Amino acid sequence: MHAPTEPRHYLLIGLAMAVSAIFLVVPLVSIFAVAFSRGWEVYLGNIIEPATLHAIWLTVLAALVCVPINTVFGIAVAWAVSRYDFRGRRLLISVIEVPFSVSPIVAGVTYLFLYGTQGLFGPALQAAGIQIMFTVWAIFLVSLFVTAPFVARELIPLMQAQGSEDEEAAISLGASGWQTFRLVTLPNIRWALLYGAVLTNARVMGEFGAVSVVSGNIRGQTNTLPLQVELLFNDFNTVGAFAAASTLAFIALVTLIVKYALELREGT
Amino acid sequence: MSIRIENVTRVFGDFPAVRNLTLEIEAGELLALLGPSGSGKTTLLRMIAGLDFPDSGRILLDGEDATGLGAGERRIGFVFQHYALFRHMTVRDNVDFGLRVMPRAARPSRAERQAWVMELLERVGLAHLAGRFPAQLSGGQRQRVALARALAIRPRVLLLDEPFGALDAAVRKDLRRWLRNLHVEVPVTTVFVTHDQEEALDVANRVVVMNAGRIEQVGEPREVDAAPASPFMYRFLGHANRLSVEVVGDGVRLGNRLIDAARVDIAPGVPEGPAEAYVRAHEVVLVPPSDPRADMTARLVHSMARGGLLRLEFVGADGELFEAEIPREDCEDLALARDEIVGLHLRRMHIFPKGHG
Ligand SMILES: Nc1ncnc2c1ncn2[C@@H]1O[C@H](COP(=O)(O)OP(=O)(O)O)[C@@H](O)[C@H]1O
Ligand SMILES: [Mg+2]
Repeated sequence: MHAPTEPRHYLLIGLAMAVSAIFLVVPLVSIFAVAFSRGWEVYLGNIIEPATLHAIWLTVLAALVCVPINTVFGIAVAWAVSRYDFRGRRLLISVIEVPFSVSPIVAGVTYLFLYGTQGLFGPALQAAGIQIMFTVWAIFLVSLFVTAPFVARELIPLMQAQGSEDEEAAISLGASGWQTFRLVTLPNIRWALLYGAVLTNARVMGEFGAVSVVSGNIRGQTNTLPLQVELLFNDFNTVGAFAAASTLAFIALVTLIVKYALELREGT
Repeated sequence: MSIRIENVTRVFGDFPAVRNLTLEIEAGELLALLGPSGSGKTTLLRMIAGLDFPDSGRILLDGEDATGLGAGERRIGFVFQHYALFRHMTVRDNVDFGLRVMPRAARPSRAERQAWVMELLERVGLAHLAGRFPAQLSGGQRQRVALARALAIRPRVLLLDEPFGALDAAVRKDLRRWLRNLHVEVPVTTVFVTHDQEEALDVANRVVVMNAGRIEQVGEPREVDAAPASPFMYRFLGHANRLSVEVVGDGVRLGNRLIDAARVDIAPGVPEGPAEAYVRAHEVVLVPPSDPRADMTARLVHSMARGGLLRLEFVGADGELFEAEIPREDCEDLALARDEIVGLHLRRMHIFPKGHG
């Protein structure tokens, strides 16, 4: 890399900045601009409106459920594929990526097909008195599916590169499996792990497609924030929609900042 | 602690890395595992440490079967080729690790641990760097931290995988001497892996040479160097010349010269007829081409002075390369020039079956 020297370099840089501004920064700013267009009180009133508040709560709950589960899942998968050589290892690495390669809508529809009343397991579940579709459980399930790869994807290349010598050293010094994990493995992967968890969190909170198919959009019950935003928008409550959206935008900003900080950290 | 490796085999996929290997290591020995890269040295070391397990055979520690025992239960100190220091811990915490993870009942007090860690760091000459992180150390320093860390658990056996492999020549030499001294101070059974014969011969009390997963030769350094037991050993030790000869009675025919038994060692089981002779570079004497002692003639193509020795390279009549190593003063009277034809007298020839190994 070097500093720009010729006019065409500056032109290119200027263009990149202008496009970023128009397509990325302006919308972000406008969310807050519209949200606050009628002042603080209206904004706050929109946020503490029970349905919106419930949507925020549900979104946070989904994150609280999904982030830990997928963090543990990600560590387990990364551990398995980077430490052991087994039949189906490559297949497993590819399968983890599936949620990234299918549209979230497809994921939602698939879950509907599996667990809905007309679905594959539907009758059995119904007979057992268990309802999954159109409840928070469905939201958790599809969110788990959609965000399953994030942590594993961050960890696998790192753990493969680091190899298992550190862990073997710990074991030969008498550490138990858990001590080795806690004192050696975890510190070695902590930034990548945190990064994966942050991405997972952002996606769980922001997921629209898959959740909209399975949640049933029951106002005040199974509406997460993204669904609430759409609902308010369809009700022509633009300011309310933008107020709800601003909370999501805020989460996105925080995610970006944390991501940036972590990348700086890893770079050192 | 003594180690007995009994008919141990380890196969990766369908590749046998260690093949039916048996070896006895006595308590307090300083043993070198020597062999070319890929000969199974690391695999054997890892099996002794309990980081890998034999597919068949047994490993006995102090006479007790330890084949299935995990690494943590063997109390064996292992120094990895690339050190494997914990990068997020200071030097002090690295060395303390093995003590810190002990079960509470067995664990020394914090003060005792601290004292022992500092004593070890003192011994490896790194006490002043106790607060540093591994990334802030040189290769030689990391190596010594890894050693101190392995010694902290008062291991019954110390295993080192290519301990000097990644270091530059001067540091290597220092560490070699230092390892020898350490073994005198802390006479724990020590096995170290190397592919550098000089290192093995210099440091160890006994050398085990491995080739393709098997033991090629075992002996004291002097023995191994003085009497290589196979063509592989000649090639591996280097500076040996290979010649095609014909065994005739208890002598050999080289070209049209007969060389009698006095200068020839014939390995057991070599039949009459075509065979391979190995002649080490220092067993070659230069004579005038017409001298009756000349077993062959060759043309000088290269010479290199090294200390008191001169390494000479010749091309023989059939274009084969030939190496000789002679004291420098012997050469001054000869006043050799490049492309000069000289006679070579072979003081000793070691005969093996044709095409063996
Ligand atoms: N985990 C493994 N999986 C497959 N092959 C291996 C493994 N470890 C070692 N090998 C193979 O076994 C042979 C011996 O390896 P190693 O013991 O590391 O040799 P050395 O230490 O003498 O260089 C090599 O050919 C190597 O490729
Ligand atoms: Mg090796």
